[in-house]
Parts: sequence; structure tokens; C-alpha cells
Amino acid sequence: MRNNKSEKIALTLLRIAIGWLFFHEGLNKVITEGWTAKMYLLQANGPLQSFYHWMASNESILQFTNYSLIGSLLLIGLALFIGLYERFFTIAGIIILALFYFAYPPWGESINSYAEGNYLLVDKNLITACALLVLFHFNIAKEFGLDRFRFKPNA
Amino acid sequence: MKRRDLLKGLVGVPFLGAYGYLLLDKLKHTPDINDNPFIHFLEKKLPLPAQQTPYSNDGKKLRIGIIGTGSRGSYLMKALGFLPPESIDQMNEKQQQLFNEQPDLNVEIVAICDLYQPRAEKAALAAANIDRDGTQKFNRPAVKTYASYKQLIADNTVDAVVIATSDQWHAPITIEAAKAGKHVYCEKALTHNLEDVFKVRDAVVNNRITFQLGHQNRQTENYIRSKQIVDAGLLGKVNLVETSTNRNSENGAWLYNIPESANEQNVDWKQFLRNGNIPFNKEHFFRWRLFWEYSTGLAGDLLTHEFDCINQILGMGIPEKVTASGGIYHWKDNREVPDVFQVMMEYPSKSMSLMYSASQANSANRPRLIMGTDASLEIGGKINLNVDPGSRLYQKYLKDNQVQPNSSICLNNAESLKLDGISSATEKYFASRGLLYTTHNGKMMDTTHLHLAEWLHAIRTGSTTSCNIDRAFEEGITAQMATLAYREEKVKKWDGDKVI
Repeated sequence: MRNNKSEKIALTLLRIAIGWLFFHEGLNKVITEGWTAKMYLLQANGPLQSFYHWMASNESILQFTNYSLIGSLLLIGLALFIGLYERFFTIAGIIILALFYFAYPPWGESINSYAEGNYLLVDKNLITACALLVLFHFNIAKEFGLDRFRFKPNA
Repeated sequence: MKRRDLLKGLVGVPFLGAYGYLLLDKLKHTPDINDNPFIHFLEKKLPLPAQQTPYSNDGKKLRIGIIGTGSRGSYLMKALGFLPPESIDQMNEKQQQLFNEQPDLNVEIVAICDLYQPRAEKAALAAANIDRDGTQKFNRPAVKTYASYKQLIADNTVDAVVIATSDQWHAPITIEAAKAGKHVYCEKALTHNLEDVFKVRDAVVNNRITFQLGHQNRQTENYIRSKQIVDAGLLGKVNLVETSTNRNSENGAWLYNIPESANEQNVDWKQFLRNGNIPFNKEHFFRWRLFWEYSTGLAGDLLTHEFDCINQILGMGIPEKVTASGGIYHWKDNREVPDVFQVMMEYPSKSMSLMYSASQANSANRPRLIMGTDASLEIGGKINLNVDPGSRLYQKYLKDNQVQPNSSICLNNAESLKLDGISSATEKYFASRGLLYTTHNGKMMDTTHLHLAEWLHAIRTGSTTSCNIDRAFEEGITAQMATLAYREEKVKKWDGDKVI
């Protein structure tokens, strides 16, 4: 990576923005009374739909899915906000986004009311995942984030 | 540690703080939905629906005879818990799960009657499949089959009959069964002609049997909820109801499969004919819904479902005046019954009209609409209340912006139901009209199963059924008035005792 200050600031802002997005998604589900992923899962389409339907197939699996999703969103969001274990959590974020992407794959089939916007192959989930891939490679938290103290303990 | 390192390391923290501040500020300024007086008003008027009646299956095992085992008869057998082993093999996982979860109704099917021999044989095997086995495990002898419904009704081991024949036989079989003291579950339409409606009512009442007409919509949570909404006065005075049938497929237009192997040897054509002397005709036998000789057309087949659904919600009964129009506009085959059909039902003494409109060549989603002076209720998969801008009842809430005029307020509790992997186009149509599945105390259930369960419960306990002979009489007269209005091109009137 070139030692260019404005590039680093831009990458840090990108990481914080994505962290903000994840954290708010997670927290919003916590404060929404009775929130559940059930309808989202049941309406899922595409080649992996049976997997999503299975996740909503009984109460205990659904509960586990709900809690894991909220926990993951909050953890990934917080980690990206403060730049801790950035490489691990960017990959975790990509996995979650892939799950969102394949639940309603934008492959030019019928428009689903559960997924807003008009997309062909590329949607916001895919773009956010690509941005996380960039962050994974640049690993900006090593300099701007708590990872700085992990890699430079004596800094 | 250098100050510079500390600042770089903690760069995300101020953003986290900013997020927290903005979120708290947003939450503070979001109006609490519980503080909305309009919502309070709705909640007060509309308590949560009571748990639906659990139908008991205890006591004596009831012995059922099935008369008519075509597509509807087979479906009724499935709803009772009986499927042929090969059908079990063909089910996908979700279908098997639903079928296996369907409660045991404590019945046995002891006899089968069908005029097409291969169908009777298949149904007799299904009736024997008490353990819901596939072909690999199934190993039981078929139950007995009768060539005539009269023999089946005369069988002393039969307590009750399920009738799913072509329309022209509903009345004669119901009357014969009632006279023999057998309880009856009969498919719609109640009868094929007007005189039979009265005869069926007399036979059921005089012989005190438990009767249920096959309008399984009676079990649908959305309609039970809709009745509660209307009864609470949330629509004001209802003056107009719109309801419809919308299908666009061969199956939806009753072009059913005609088996190649069917012939005069394995079809009892003579018994199929109630009147007249029509020569053997496979199309007439397997696609009887298309011909007036055996069918009541759209009026008996699909208007009746819509009528009964509205009658369940509003309890308006027989219309005082009926006009009908339509024609054979799309399916230019041999059919005699219309494929586009409109019926206007007038209720001057109740100050309302009911408008029915059907197309078998377009499947647009037209929800049922109950229109009152204060609000409209849209009933489809969801129940939406639309407050009318001219409402007096909601005037204050409208003025204070606590409710937006004509914006849908969803009032059902049932979750939308997932049907992919279960259903064909016709099934999806029925499901969207609330005729296939419902939630029953939070569980997804087949409405036909619940409707049969209610009938069996009524037989065991002496309670009444939801589509009993009084409701059936209203359905029967209305369907006949619509058919006669169409065929005679006349206005048909009900004077309280007879059709004129």
C-alpha cells in the first residue's frame, strides 16, 4: 500500500461506514419488538431456497438463526467501527452478505417485494461485500484502528 | 505510547459515539405507536380472536362411506387422513410433513362408490391405508366397493357419507342417506335444480341428521376475523360487496384429463345419467362441469364459495333479486356453461348489493371488497382496512392525522403462508382465496380437514356445523337463482318462500 494519507482516510471511512451499517442493522433488530427473520427466510427464492426455508422450519432453529444473525451483525459492526480483528471480521461480513445475496439472488427473475431496488446480478450486498474484500486486503485497521495496538504493542 | 498512535488507534470511537447519540435522538423523537388514539380505538373494538374450537376425535370410531372419488373426492379422503400408497411415494418432504402432522380424526372409511371402476379401486386402496404408508410398506386388502350409492347407503356398517359426485346427484344421494339416518358431508353446490333445494332441506331437517356443506372457507381464520371486524362496526353501514373468481388455466377452466382406458365397460354411464338418454360420452363423464345436464356452471361451482364466504362474514342470506350475464367468450370448445359470468345480487331490505364477477380466462388478483360508509375491508391473503376519507366514525382520527385515508391497515393475525413446492396453479388460486390452507391456533392446517373435523365433532357431540342445512339452503337457492337468471335471461326474485 502506498503511504498516501488521503487514501488511508478514505479506506478508514469506508470501514467505519460499513461497520455503522452492520451495527445499526443488528441493533435495529434488537429494539424492534418481536422481530424475526421468519418471513424473510420463508419468502427466499433462488437455488438455495430450501436451505433458507429449513432455517425457518422449526422454532428452535429459527430462534438460533435470529440470535446468530443479530449477534453477528452487532459484532461485525462493532469490530469494523473500532478496527479490531479487521481481517477476520471483513471475512465474516462477506459471509453474511453472501447469505443475504443468495436469499434473494438478483438474477433477473421476478421482482420480489422483500428486496427493494432493481438489480441484475450486482446488488448492494454484492458491492458491500466487494468493499469488504478491499478492506481485507488493505487491512487499514493496522494503522487506523485498534489493530494498531495488536500489531505494534509498544506503539 | 505516543499521542499520535493513540489517536490513530482509536479513530473509530468518535464515530461510534456519534452513532449512539444519533440513535438515541431518533428513538426519542419516534412517536410511540401505542400512543396513537386510533390504534387504541381499534384495539378496544377488536379484541384478539379467541382460540378456535378444538374438534374432539374421541369417542366412537365413525365409519364413513365415500360416494364419488374423482379429484375432489380423493382430496376429501386425504383430508380425512387417507391417501393411496403411490401418492405418498410421490409427495415431497414438505407435503409429507403436512400430511403426517394432520391429526387423526378417529374414522375409518369402510366403503367406496364410484362409477369409474379404476378410480373406485384406487380409492378402495387409499381407504385401507390407515398407517399412511408408501408402496413399500403398504400391505392391506382394499375396502369394499359398491357399484351403486344405494347399496352403500344400505350398508349397516356405514354411519355417515361423504358425497363428492357430479352436481346432479348431490340431492338424490343426500335425500336417500338422510332417510336412512346417515349423516352427510356434501360438496357444493347443494343441488342441481331449484326444487331439490327444498327437498334436501326437508330430508335433512325431518331425519335430524348432521349435515355439512363443503364450504371449507368457514374454517379460514381470515374470514372469522373479518366477521369480527364487521360485527364491531368498523366498516359502518355496508352498502356494496365485490367478489370474484379469476382463473386462467385449463384445469381452472375444468378441462380435466380424460383417461384413454375409460370405456363403456369400466364407466357406469347409465347410472351417471339422472335424466334423459344421452349416448355414452367420455367428455361428458370426465368433464361434467362443462355441461348443464350435470353441472351448475360457475354459479354452483365457484360463485357458491364466494357467496358463502360473504354470507359467513355478513350473514345476509338469500338475495331478494338476482340478475346475471356473461357468455362463452374464451374456451370455444364443446362447453355449454359460461366462462365469463357476472351476477348482481340485490338486498333492498338490507340496503346493500353483492356483485360477483368471474373470468376463467384471466387470473388478475381481485380481492374481495366489503364497502361500508366508514371503511372498506379488502380480504385476500391479508385483511386490510381502508378508512374512508368521508367517514364520520373516524372523522376525529382523520383530522388529527392519526390515520391516513385509504391506506391499508393490516388486521389479520395469520402469517402469510408459504405454498411453493406444495401447490399447482389452481391450488395457489384456491389458497389465495382462503380455500386451501389456514392457520388454526397458530398452526398451518388444511381447511377441508378442519371442515370435516367440525362435521365429525358435530356428529359425536350433537353440536351444529358452521355450514349447516340453513346456510346450505341459502347457498342452494342463491346458486339456482343465478343459474336461472343467466339461462332464462330474466330477473329472479325471492319472496321469502319461493323463487319467482
